Amino acid sequence: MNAANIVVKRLGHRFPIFALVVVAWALFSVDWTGAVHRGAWDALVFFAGALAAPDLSGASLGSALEAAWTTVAYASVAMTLAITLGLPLGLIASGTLLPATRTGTGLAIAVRAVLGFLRAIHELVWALLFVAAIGLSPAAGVLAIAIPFAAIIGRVFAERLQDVPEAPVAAVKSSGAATLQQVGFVRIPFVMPDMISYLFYRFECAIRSAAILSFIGLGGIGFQVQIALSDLRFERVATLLYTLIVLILVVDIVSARVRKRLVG
Amino acid sequence: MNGRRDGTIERGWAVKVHRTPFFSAVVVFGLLALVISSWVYVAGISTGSRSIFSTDSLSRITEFLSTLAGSDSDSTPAFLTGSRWLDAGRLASQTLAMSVLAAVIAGFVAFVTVPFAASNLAFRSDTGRGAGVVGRWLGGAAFLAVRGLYIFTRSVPELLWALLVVFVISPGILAGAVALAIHNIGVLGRLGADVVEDADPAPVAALRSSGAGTVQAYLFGVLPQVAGQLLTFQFYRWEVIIRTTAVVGFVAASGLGYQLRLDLSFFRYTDIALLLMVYVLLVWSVDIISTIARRAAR
Repeated sequence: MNAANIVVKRLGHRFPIFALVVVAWALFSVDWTGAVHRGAWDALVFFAGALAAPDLSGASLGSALEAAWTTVAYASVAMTLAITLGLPLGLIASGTLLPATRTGTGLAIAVRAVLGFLRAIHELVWALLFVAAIGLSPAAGVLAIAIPFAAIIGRVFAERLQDVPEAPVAAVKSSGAATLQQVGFVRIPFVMPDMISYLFYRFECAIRSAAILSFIGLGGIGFQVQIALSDLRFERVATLLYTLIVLILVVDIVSARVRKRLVG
Repeated sequence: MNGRRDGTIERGWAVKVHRTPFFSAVVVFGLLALVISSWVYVAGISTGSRSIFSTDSLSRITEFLSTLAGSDSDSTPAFLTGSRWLDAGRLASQTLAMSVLAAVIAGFVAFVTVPFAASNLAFRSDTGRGAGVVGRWLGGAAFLAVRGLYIFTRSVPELLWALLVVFVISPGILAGAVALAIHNIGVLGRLGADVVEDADPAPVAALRSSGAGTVQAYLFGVLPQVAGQLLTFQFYRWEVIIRTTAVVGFVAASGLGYQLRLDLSFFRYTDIALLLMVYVLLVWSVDIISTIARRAAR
């Protein structure tokens, strides 16, 4: 991105002014009259009350647990697909495995472009398109998450592989290692600890994405939230939100402990 | 975060899996069990619905794509009509405004709360002398409150926040921006707190020893070190936000997302294609601007 460097050099010092102008424009594009409901304060008090006293009855907890399992199951299936697709694609896109010939570099660039396109579209837009094309099924939701996630995992893996310091690579190269051996024994082991903790983070994101699959009509936490909201049962909403938080916290804690073991 | 600072050099080389076989085994088998049972469960609820990997669904997908290209209607496709591009551009500007507001609100709240969520500032562990009993209690309470806020806001996805926000703010750019901002406060705050904790403690200790409080230590001791990193996070989140803004538009009733939802329910296929093009163009433009801005921030 040499072009970016030139722009930065020419305009970098005026950057705060641009930022202020853009923010001012964004503020002016809001319709401020009547932006806040008349009953807004009551609604906030109501929310706060519900958060302080969530519905912990057996029925509420049961449906929250069931919804949590559905959400986690969707997320796990989508993540397995995303990892099995994303890591090999990232390996190709990194350009470290292919010879630096015209075809090799061309293939890497092509894969990078495809990943860039798949990544640009949000998982819920993918989900809507799948449902419009083939109708509603759990597979549509799973694929909708797996496609952009594979693209993101691929890009991150490719960038990390490229950023491996040259010294260790050169060391095994000078002892006669082929490209495949350089990648397999130096680059991949070098990035793996970081990559594993990144994949845990992606799993956390997948849980959140799976929680909103209710927008295309699939079950899970989002679905239960929508039902509870339409019944105006905020204390049930609170239970569901807390369930989601516990899920995310568990992933976070496991991820932190695994990372500690790997990085030492 | 001591482990990270000490382990940076040997990262990737010191894979000490053998040190704790039990924990590793639990994690590996736990994940394996989770994946297998998830596949079984999802396959179970999928029975009855059409398989996605069949010639039938393949032909449906190709048919869908050709209708997106305008094969089944005689009128000019929306994406070949200039006025439609103008309309979509107006919607894109709403989406852009929503994403900018969301990033600014989230960045501001995270910036203001971060010193209380960083253990080195909140507990004054860097002064060597420590604060008084009251100060330590207040610091600890603020630390827990802010960290709790971050976990809470981060765990709930933007769209669920949007469902709640529309009870308070009328659907529109502001409602969407606030919903996006709430989630991103947690994300930015957590990232920011980690960076602040990793900052060089010497300047803070120097300020503290001459009587600076938490806020002063943050502004003059930590911020000059981490400002570039915080701005980088800010722009990185903006790239994520612009993708999600289109979706939050479903609920917040504005921008590309809302129109996309309408067009999908009215089967206006060439309009859907146009909106998707504008959406991808918008996302790519933001990516480019953000890349430049991140470089300038460094």
